[in-house]
Amino acid sequence: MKNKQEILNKIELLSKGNEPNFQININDTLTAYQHLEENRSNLTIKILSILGVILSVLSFLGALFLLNILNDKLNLIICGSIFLVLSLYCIKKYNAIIIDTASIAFYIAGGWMLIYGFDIHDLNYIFILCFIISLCTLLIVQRHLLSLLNILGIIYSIIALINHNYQNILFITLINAILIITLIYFLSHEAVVLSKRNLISTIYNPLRLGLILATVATTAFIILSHYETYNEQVNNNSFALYILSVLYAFAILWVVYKITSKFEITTSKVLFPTYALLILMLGSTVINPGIACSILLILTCFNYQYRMGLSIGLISLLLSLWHFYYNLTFSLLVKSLILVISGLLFLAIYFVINSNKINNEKI
Amino acid sequence: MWKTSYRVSDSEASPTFNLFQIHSITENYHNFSLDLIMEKLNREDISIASKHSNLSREQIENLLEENVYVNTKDWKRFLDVFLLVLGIGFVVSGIIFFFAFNWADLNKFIKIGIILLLLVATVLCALILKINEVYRNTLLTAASMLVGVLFAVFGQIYQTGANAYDFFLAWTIFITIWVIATRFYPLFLLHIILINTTIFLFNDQVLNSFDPVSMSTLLFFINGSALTALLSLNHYRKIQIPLWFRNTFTLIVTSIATIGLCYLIFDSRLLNGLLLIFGTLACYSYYIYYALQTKSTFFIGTIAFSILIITNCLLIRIFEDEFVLIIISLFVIIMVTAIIKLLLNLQRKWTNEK
Repeated sequence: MKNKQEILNKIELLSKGNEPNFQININDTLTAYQHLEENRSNLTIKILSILGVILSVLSFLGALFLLNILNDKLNLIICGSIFLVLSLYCIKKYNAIIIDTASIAFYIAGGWMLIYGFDIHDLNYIFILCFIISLCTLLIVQRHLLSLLNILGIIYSIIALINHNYQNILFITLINAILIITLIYFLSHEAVVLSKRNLISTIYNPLRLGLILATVATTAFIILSHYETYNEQVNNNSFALYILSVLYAFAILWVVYKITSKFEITTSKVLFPTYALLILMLGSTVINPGIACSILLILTCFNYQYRMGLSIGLISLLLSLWHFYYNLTFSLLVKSLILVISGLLFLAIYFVINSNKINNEKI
Repeated sequence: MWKTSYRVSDSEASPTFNLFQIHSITENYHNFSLDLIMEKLNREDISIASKHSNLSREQIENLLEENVYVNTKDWKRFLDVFLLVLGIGFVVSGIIFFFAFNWADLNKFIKIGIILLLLVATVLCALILKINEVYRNTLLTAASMLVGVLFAVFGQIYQTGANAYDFFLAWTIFITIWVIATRFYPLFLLHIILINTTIFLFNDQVLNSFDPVSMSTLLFFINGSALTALLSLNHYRKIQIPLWFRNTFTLIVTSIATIGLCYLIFDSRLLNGLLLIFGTLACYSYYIYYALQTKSTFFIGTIAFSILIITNCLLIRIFEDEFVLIIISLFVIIMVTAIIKLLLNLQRKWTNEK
């Protein structure tokens, strides 16, 4: 655990270069560190907590079904509301990791009972109810796991609502575009968000993760729905794929421009091959925006050192590449040649970069 | 452990300090040289400080740039690794696709010849090249995989079946010497998986006399004894087991014990499983002792979750009523909360001891 002296040393480091107006509330900072240390969970605790939530919610809902309690809607609404309020009260009051499992399990079970109890046949109202519950919870409590759940709840209620009413993939593409812009904004404007000291800065970590998960999942949904409706006569899905690829391409080029500007790389000897290679890569994978999505995530998350996002980007890149090559309508022979040529191209770039480095070192 | 009741002289009324006061606090409590403790700030520190201070957007931006975000050197290193991995990955995949395309048309001698050639080349590289031991062991692991591919292709050509127990038995036997010689843990894990698969398939295809409980008992004793021996050797500093291997092997052993005991609970033949019950009790007791000695929360979490699942099965078996699911739901919540509380306390205690 960090002791008081270590924290004071850190504050000293923070103050370096920020004199003379730098002011900090030491008591609150020490309390924040103490709370953080007391609730610092390792992977075992996180997995145990999530497994506990899944197991308890499933057995509880299973009991409701088997005991025929679901027929009495009024009871469901009352019990669901009590569970919801109770779980939120506990999280708000105790704000500790040990009650996460209990409160999130009660929250999910309560929310589900409330929605089921209203006995609504129109899906629109269900999605709106999900949206309202998630939004209200997000405004009331800001625990990491619960906030992530609510952010995903908000995004997916909107997507489900639009998909249910319009059934046009172009609208989902529009939402994906908004997600991309929001994600890049939040990743690249961390300082702006933190300096505001408001609700957004409190939920910055779950918001960032939620946006990444939502962007990847929505892109995957658009790609997969394209392959499902591949043989239909009226097919907006291919159009959606191209639009999404172009959007991702612009986003990647913008991010690369920002990175090169930050490191003051202005020589056309570096810039021209970089942009040419990017355009070649993005152009050849235009039918699968998942690859562009992964590259964008890898570039931005690495630049801003967000490891979780980087891991998601790398896994997503592997899956997208597999999906891309698997669905190419070429023979295995052509596919193998494309793979070898691409691999040799990457290796050639690697050797060109490194030979330049060796030459520079010699000079 | 320090308390939040920390106060500084006359500043109790207003807990906001300026830089001069911070200097006096640190100097009053300890004399230290800033140069000696120049550890880097992380994102968490900047986030906490920004919340409780008057740092401006530009100041937070500068702190993030200096302490968290990457520099040109990091970018160069990242691009190097990324391009190399992509390049090798694509070329190797392309070669595999090429053989997959032409596989059906290849003569059976060429098929086996290609794999044999790769096998011999891999082993020779591992033996002759003067390379780091990790690379040498990795090459031998690749050779062990190729042994399996060789037997699979042999089975495909001569129709001996690719799921027959003797295929896995041959694979297990032929790599045993490499497993012993290299003491390389990825290879060891492969060997464990192969042994378990061989025993399972032997019972399924030849013996047919072991019920699920007896099968679980046999597998539990083989794996449990190996894990216990490894942990004991590790505990007395004879060998160093990597954390990932120790945890994966523990997961395998606890999963076998949990599945076996759950079968036993619903099977109603208690005598059949006495060996498994006592074996599990003995092993779990030793693992908990080991966890407390080596300060590992993973062992305690895994064993507690295994006991939780076994208890749930026991509750279902005893009550045999739908209502028990409500009890299980509450029981899981209470138990998981208690386990997390225990793990947090242990973690805090162990961190303070350091």
